[in-house]
Amino acid sequence: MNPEKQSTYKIASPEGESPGGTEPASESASEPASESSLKAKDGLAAGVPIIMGYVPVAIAFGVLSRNVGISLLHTQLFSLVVFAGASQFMAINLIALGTGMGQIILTTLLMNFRHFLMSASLSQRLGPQPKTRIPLLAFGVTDEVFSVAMTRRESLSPSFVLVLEVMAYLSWNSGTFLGYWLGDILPAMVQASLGIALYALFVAILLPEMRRSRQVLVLALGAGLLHTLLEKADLLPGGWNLVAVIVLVSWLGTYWPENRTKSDSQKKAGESRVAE
Amino acid sequence: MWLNEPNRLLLLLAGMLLATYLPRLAPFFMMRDLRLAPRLKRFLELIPFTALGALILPGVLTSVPGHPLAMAAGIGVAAVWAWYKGGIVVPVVGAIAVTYGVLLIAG
Repeated sequence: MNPEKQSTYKIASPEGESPGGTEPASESASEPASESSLKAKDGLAAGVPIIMGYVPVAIAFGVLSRNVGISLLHTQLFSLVVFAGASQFMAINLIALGTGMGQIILTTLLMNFRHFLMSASLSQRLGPQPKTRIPLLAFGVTDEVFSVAMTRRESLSPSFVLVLEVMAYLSWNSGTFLGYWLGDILPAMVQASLGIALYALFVAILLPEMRRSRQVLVLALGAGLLHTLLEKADLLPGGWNLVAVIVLVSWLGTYWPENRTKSDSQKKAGESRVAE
Repeated sequence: MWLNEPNRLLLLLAGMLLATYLPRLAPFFMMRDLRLAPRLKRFLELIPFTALGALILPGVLTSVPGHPLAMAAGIGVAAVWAWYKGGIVVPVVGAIAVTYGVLLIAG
């Protein structure tokens, strides 16, 4: 299990002192602005849930790709090169329908534009990075890595994020291989139940945050409902509904009055992250 | 038409690589030397939560195609556990197990 994660979830820290408790507190005791920072080894523990969420879905991808008739090499290349779950599923489905290349690539771009927002958010949190490090760090930004990293209260180090990314990449690719290879053996019912894994991961990341902060509760629920409505209305193409919802609701959230006073006081207390 | 044209698939992969990588890459360079206004900073801090909300809904509703009951049971168990106990591994494994269980019984 994951005791560090548990403790950071349980204890809100209005004092600005990180509750994680694995690092000795001596360093941060004198300097209130510094929190314990998440390092590479913390990434190993934090990455386990990503593996659990990814492998089942990657297996499902491998199975689908095989059923459509794509070779193992090309299937694996999808996961190695594209590394974007939803887009890969979409591409395989469109390939099966005989859709043209331009449309598949454009849809991919639309579906993944949300990562533009996520990279912006993550890079702001990490601070300026050396230019040589950016290409690798940016390649691994996925919904899951982003969510797991950004909901931590401690300060993030690039190595922590990178470890998460490598674990995500390896599990996504080994799952793809496994799925392609297992394809026939896996009972249909097992396959059908794998689709829930990523959503369970998202729910498990989000709900403790919603419980802790009414602002997060309202904004996340609002985003989900608005996205549902927009998808029903079917106005915008591809992933634009998702992008529009994230931008609109996050921006509305900056007008949340309660948080502004709290964020001021928390900033004074040296807490760089604000949840309430 | 795609399947007997491996080279065309490779071209597609290259295009998809660009389409997924560039949106991930650009902000790191664009925001490198930027000092953001407090409201914009706050906006970026809220993105994880709104993104998660919008990633879950409505996608989860069709995550077990044709079996909304199994989906509801699986995600329900994950949600209740995450809300009261926290943690991630138990909700994920629990959701898969419960979904599979309901499929076995009802399917």
